[in-house]
Formats: sequence, structure tokens, C-alpha cells
Amino acid sequence: MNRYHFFFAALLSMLLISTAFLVEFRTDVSDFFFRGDSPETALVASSIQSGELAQRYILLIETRHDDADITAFVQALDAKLKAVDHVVRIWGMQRDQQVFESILADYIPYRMQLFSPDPEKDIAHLFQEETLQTRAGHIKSALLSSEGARLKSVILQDPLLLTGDWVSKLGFGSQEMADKNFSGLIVETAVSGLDAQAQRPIYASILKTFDALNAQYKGDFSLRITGVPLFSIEVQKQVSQDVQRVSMLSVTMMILLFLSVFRSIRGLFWISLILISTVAASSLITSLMFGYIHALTMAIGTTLIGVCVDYPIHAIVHASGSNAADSEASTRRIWPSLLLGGLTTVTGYIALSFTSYPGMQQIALFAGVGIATALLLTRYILPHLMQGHIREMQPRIGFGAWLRLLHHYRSSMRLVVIGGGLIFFMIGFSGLNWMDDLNSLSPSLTELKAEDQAIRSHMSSVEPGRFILVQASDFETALQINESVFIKLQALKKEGVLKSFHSLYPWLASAKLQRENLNYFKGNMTAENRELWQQALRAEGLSVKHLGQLKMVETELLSREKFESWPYKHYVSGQYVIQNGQVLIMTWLGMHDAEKVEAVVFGMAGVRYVSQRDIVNNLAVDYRTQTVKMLLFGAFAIFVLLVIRFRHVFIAMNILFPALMSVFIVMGAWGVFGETMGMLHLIGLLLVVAICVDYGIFFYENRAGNQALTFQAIVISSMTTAAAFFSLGFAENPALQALAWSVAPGVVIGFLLCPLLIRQQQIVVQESK
Amino acid sequence: MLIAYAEETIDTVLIRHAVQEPVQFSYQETRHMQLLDVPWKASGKMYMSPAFFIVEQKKPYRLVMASNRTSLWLYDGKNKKRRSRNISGYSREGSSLVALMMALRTGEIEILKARYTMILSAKEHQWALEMIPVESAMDKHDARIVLRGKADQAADELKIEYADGNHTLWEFTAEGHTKEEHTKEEPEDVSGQMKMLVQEARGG
Repeated sequence: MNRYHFFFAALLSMLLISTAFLVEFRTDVSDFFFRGDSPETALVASSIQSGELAQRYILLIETRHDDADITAFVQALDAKLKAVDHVVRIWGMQRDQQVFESILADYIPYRMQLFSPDPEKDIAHLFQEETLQTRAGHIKSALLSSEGARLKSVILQDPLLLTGDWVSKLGFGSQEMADKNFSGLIVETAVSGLDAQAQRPIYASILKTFDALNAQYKGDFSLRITGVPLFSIEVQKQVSQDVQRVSMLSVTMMILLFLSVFRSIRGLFWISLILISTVAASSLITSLMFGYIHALTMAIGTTLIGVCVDYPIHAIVHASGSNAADSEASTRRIWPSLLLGGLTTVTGYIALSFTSYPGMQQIALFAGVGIATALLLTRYILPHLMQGHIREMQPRIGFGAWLRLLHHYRSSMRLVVIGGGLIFFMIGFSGLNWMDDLNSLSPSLTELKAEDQAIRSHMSSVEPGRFILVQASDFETALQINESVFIKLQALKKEGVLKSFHSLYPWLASAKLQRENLNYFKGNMTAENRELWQQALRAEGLSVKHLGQLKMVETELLSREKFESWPYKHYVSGQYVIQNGQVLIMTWLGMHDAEKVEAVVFGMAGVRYVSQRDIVNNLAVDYRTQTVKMLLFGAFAIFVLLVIRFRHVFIAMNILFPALMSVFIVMGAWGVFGETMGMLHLIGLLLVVAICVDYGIFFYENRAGNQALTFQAIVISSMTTAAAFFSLGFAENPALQALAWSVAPGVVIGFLLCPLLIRQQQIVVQESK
Repeated sequence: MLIAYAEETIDTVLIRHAVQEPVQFSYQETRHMQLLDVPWKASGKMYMSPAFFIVEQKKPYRLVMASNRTSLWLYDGKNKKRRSRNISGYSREGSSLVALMMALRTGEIEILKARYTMILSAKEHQWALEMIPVESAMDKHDARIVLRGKADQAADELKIEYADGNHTLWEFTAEGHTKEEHTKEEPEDVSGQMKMLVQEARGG
């Protein structure tokens, strides 16, 4: 034990303790993939990530028994679910009817100012003789209906039934579910829908509560459930499983490789500690910089083990293979190559961070810190740990035969490989399929998505993910624009283009519209109109004494503050967002003809038709374009680094050549075999370049002066890298699989091509001992 | 609270209304409402079985209301519209008649006793059962109900008085017969008619 041992033990302990206490993990995929730059994407991101909508479970209760009392069951379930921790509110279709009276009671005073989005036209129409007669007929029908006793008080306050107009604009379904054998409940929780850890016990409690109650009802009912929290729970489960699976597999393969090549437990022990330190330092710094670290960063980051292990492997192979007994001296000799290799790899990751793909910035930082840590530990700690034990770490496998074979046929094979590779690339490239659907990179949740769609189709007429977005700098302006949109959508609904829509109006209206409505009513409260109304009442046998007086309602304007003080806010929660000096109002759309709806709002200032899926996929196209640029930029930056180091363009090109050929061959293969290629495949290719250039540098520089020794180190390190990325292929997550099947073959092809494509002035072929 | 007079008892009156087989009546409905200057009249047929209660209003316009223990369906022939709603337990909003009739016809006497204070009065060949909602079970719109009938017979008159002073009188008679006779059609025919009416009310 020397001071380096103590220093390393102290450093490792400190890193592990800090990591355990300071690192915060997240598992939600949207946070990793989406970042809102435009109002639409900001809204999509915020509504996915933090909105009230994301905190809700949607419960569909069904029964096959016609006599089962679903109303009583749902009421009992409602009462019991309220006792579940973190459940803040529950409502449903039946419940809505019960609170309907209180909504009406609160809104009746505002019936005049909220009457119409187009008061000039609609109020003039209201006071026509025919309209008044129809309304008198409606009053009579209402009084004689089974609801007559309840409606009487409303009719006395509002004889013109203006509240009815208000209700009809809400888009409420009237008892649509009543004669069917199902009912719905919405359960809102107080915690973020993406906090899977907090949501899991709530979900379990909901299921347990249902089962217990259903047992009392002899199992007459069944439950279907959906909601963002459910997706989070499943995603977290999948990602956690992936991280565990990938880490275990990666580490196991690395251990097996290491033991079979070096057959040294001591070497394995020291390298393992270096890698643990590397991952701990990366996690810690990334978490401190970003405030959290995503589990996918960890999963992709663990492949860094395969990259970072290269440096100690080179150090061990060179120390044990060279004649120098001093491992510090041998490491010092290859240090410039290691440093340059590390720099080129980091350059590749840094290039990735310039894509506005949010997760990549984390990965870039994670990789940068990891590579720096691994390099520094390899250079300044590992030689001292190895001292005295270097002979027992000598690799037991040589690769001289391959090197000799390539050397012998080099001239002829070079042309064949270069020509064949380029032709292969050209044939394959024309047939490449590009995939720009970001959803396909998310964990596969096919069953959950299908169930979600089925439940929502029972519960709501809204088409998920499509809406009209109004954007303005203040709330009043946004409301005014929203009212113009309402008029247009109402016309589309009449034409049958739009089946239904849910707008913030008439829950809230602009002050301007409220004043206009009041002014038009005032102007129509004439003796002549009063007489017309009374005639209509008499014709239906209705009491003129009780209903015949037309009076203005003296009420202050309905403000947002007043509305938000009512308990009905949740009916439109998520429909308006006020953030960063911007007001966004959304109108949910039912079944509709997308082209026609989009055409109607096209050109309206501050109004957009939004398709959430289109936004996400447009983002994917942007990301792909950026990634292609960054791939070229990354390759160029690496090239520049090589030119600076070697002060010779040809040498730089020569070192880069195996990496580029490897990329061409992999891309060609995807095209030839009809594989679909996406953004993460491109990212993988950039990593191939960054990693393979290291091999080129080591091979070209050959600092040990022993080509076989250098190649041996390259082979071992490329095998560990390929093994690490190959293990990603066993993840369920398509994003990780994409990386696996681009980097692993790319790295293998890259190192195989090094001796063939890199022109060295002096090639010394000798078997390492 | 139960107060009974003469030979009729509340239980015998209530049990008398329980049906085992489908039956039908003609009815005449008269509503007296504060907001209507003249009483409103309607007439039609009423059908009852242990499972269903159906009102087939024929005048002044067609309206079919059918209900079982949990649901109520309404077809408004005037506006060609259908509506439905869940009902459960004894009494649901706006359906006092339905709830009362269902409870009577299915023999849910204990439920009725729990919800109403009942006063039975009998004079010669007539009986009257007054049902006043118990305060704790009372809905703000709940009504005072009076059932009247001849001795040893089911009710031929039902009056519902609402809290706001409105009241409705239902008179049950046999179509084409005297007021004393209830129609006694073959149960199969009544069942078939009920099925058709339920279909009409539910639609589809």
C-alpha cells in the first residue's frame, strides 16, 4: 500500500458518498426528448410534464349486468377514493350532473354578459317574434318535464332561458352515458403525473379500493384505468429494467473479456475501481450541473465503461508488454496518444450537445467528465497501483496473425475494401429509410396506448393531441381572439366539419365582449319587445305575471380572478397557460376534418391549429437535420484536432479514414438490408467516428514502437467497447437499441480496418510476449 | 310514524299495490302550476310490472317514459328526442312518481315507511293514505303524496303536492270502463306492449 492507494481509496469513497446523497435520478422520457422552443412545443412539454392533466387517472367502470346499480357503486367508489392519500379531487359524468345546479346558480347572474360571442347578431335574433315564441314553448316543456320542479327557480330568474344558451356552449354531453353499462370517474392527485415513485402507491390504492368495494357488490363491476401517471409508472419500470439489464450485461461481458485476456484478478480489481470512479464522477457532475440525471443518460452513459476502459487497457498492455519495468514510464510514453484519443472522443460527444436534443447535452457532459476522469486516473494513479504486479497482467492472447495477414495482402485488399465499401455505401444509401417519429424512440407502450385510446373514446369526444392554440401577450387580448375562434368553430360545427369542441368561452369571456353583450341587451329592453314576449307567454298559457317582465341584470363583469375562486376551474384546467409574459389558450377539438379546421383559422393573428404529434415529429426532423450537421461538424472538428496534432493534412485524413469507411459500410448495410434509420443511429455513427479515431491515433503513433503490442491493445479495447454497446441491444428501449446496432458494428469494422487503411512509415510486426 | 284507522291498515293498503304480473291502467293527469295560467292536462296509459314502470302519454302529445330500478328512459314524441338517466335507491330527483310507483309495485314497504310519515284514513267504502316526507329524507322539492282508493282496492287517485305549491292529480281509470274497474288484459299482451314501449323509450 502506498500513498496512491490511500489517495485513490479516499477519492473513490468521497465520490461514492457524494453520488449517493447528491445525485437525483429521473426516468420520464418526455423530459429527455422534448424541449419547448416555440409556444407550441413549450405548451406540449409543459402540459406533458407538469400540467394538472398529467396528474389525473381516468377510471372507466363497467358492468355486464343490466340490473347492477352502477350509480350507487360509482358514488360509493367516489367516496372511498377520496380517502386515498394525495387524491385531491374526484369527479365524473354523474357527479357533474349533481354539481350542475351549483354551476348554474353561480353563472345565472352573468347570463347576459356571457350570452353570445357575436352579440349584435344573436341578441337581435333573440328578440324576434318567432324566437320568443320558441323560447316560451321551451319554458313550458321544461316546466312540464321531470326536471320541472328544479328548473322552476331558474326560469323565474331567467325567463328568456339565456342560461340555456350558456350551457349549450359548454359542450357538456347530456347523460350520454346513462343508458349504457358504464360510468367514468376522473381522479386528480396532488403529485406530478411523471413522479412514478409517488404515483405507484396511489395507483395501487385505487386498484385496492375498487377491488374491495367490488367484492361487496359481488364482483358485478370491472375497472379500466388510464392516465399519464400509469405511463410514467410503466416507463420507469422499463427504463429501470433496461438500466439494470444493460449495466449487468455490460459489466459481466467486460469482466469475462478482461479475465480471458489478462487472467488477472488484481488488474480487474483496479480497472473496476477506475471505472466505478469514472461513472460516479460523471453522475455527480452531471446531476449537479443539470439538477438531475436521467436514467437514459445512465443507460447510455454506462457504455462509456466500454470507451473509458480503453485507456487503462492501453496502459496495462503497454506496461506489461514493453521491456520497461517502470509502468509509470510506459504510461507516460503513450500518454499523448491517450490524451488525443480522449480529446477526439470528447469532441464527438460535444458535437452532439449542439443538437438541441436535450438529453444529448447530459450525455455529452457525462461522457466528457467520464473520459477526463478515466484519463487522469490512468495517467496518474493506475501506474502506481500496477507497480510490482505488471508482469502478471500480461495479455494471454495475441493478434499478430491478423496483423501479418493484413500486412501481407495490404496493397490489394486496400483497394478492394475501399472500392467495395464505397460501392456498398452508394447502393445502400439510396435505399435508406429515414424514420422521424420520435414516439418510436419512446419505450414501447403499445398495450397501454391502445387501452388509453379505448377508455378516452368512452369518456370524451375530444381528439387527443389536436387543438387550436391562441397566443397573446395579455389575457384580455387572448380571450378576444379565443372568442373569434369560437365563432368560426361554431360555424364549422353547424356544417358538420367539426363534431364538438370545448372552448374557454363561455366559462370566461373578455371584458370587451361582456360589455358588448350588456349594451345590446340594454338596447333591446324596449316596451315593444316586452309586448312581443308577453304575447308569446300567453300563447303557451304561461304566467305573464311571473315571467313577463324583462329586466337587465346588474352584475359586475366576470373576471378571471372570480372564475378561479370557483370550484369549476378544473373543467377547463390545462386550457389556459400564463407563462413568461405570454398567454396561451387552447380549444379542445372533437372529431374533425383537420384540413378544413386548419384552413379556417389559418391567417388569424395569434391563432394556430396544433397537432401534438406533428410538433413532435417536426422536432424529430429538426433534430435529424441538426444531427447530420453535427455529425459532419464533429468529424470535421476531430479532423482539425488531428491536423493540429500531426501538422499534416494527409496524416489526419489517414487516421480518420478507417472511421469514415466504417460509417460508410454500416450505413450501406442498413440501406441494403432495408433497416430504418433515425436520429439516434446518426448519433451512434458520430460516436463510431469519435471512438475509431482513437484506434487510428494509437495505431499510427505506435508509441511503444511495437505495432503488434499496439494492435493488441487496440483489439482488446475495441472488444470491450463493442461489448458495452452490444449489451445496449438487449434493452427494451428502442433508443438504446438504435445506439447499440450502430456503434457496436461500427467499432468492430473500424478497428479491423486500422492496419489495412492506416499507412505507417515503419511497420514492425512481432508477436508481443 | 304510522297512524291507522278503521279496518284498513297501512300495510294491507301498501301490499295491495305490489304486482306479480304486468298490469296496465289508463290515466288522466292534471297539473296545477304557479307559472301556468291554466291547468295542464294529459292522458294516456300506465304499465307496471315488478321490473318496469311505464307511462305512455298519448295526449296532448306522445311521450313515453320507461324505467327499471336503475335507469329511466324518456322519448319525447313532440321534439323527437330521447333522454335517459341513472336512477337508484328509492327516490331520485324529479322522479317522485316513478320512485313511488316502483316502490309500491315491487313491495318495498319498509323503504316507503322510512321516507314518509303515513296517515291512513278510511270512511265507509273509501280509504286515503297521506304520505308526508320525513324531514331527514326530504328533498327541497319533495312532495306530499295522497293516495285514494275504494275499500279493498288499489288506489284510483294519486295527488302529488310539491313544496312550491304546485300539485298534480293522477286519476286512474280503465279505458272504456267505469272508474271502478281496472283493465285486466292478458298478461302476455301487456308484457308484449311493455316491451315495445321500453324499446321506443330506449331507442336503438
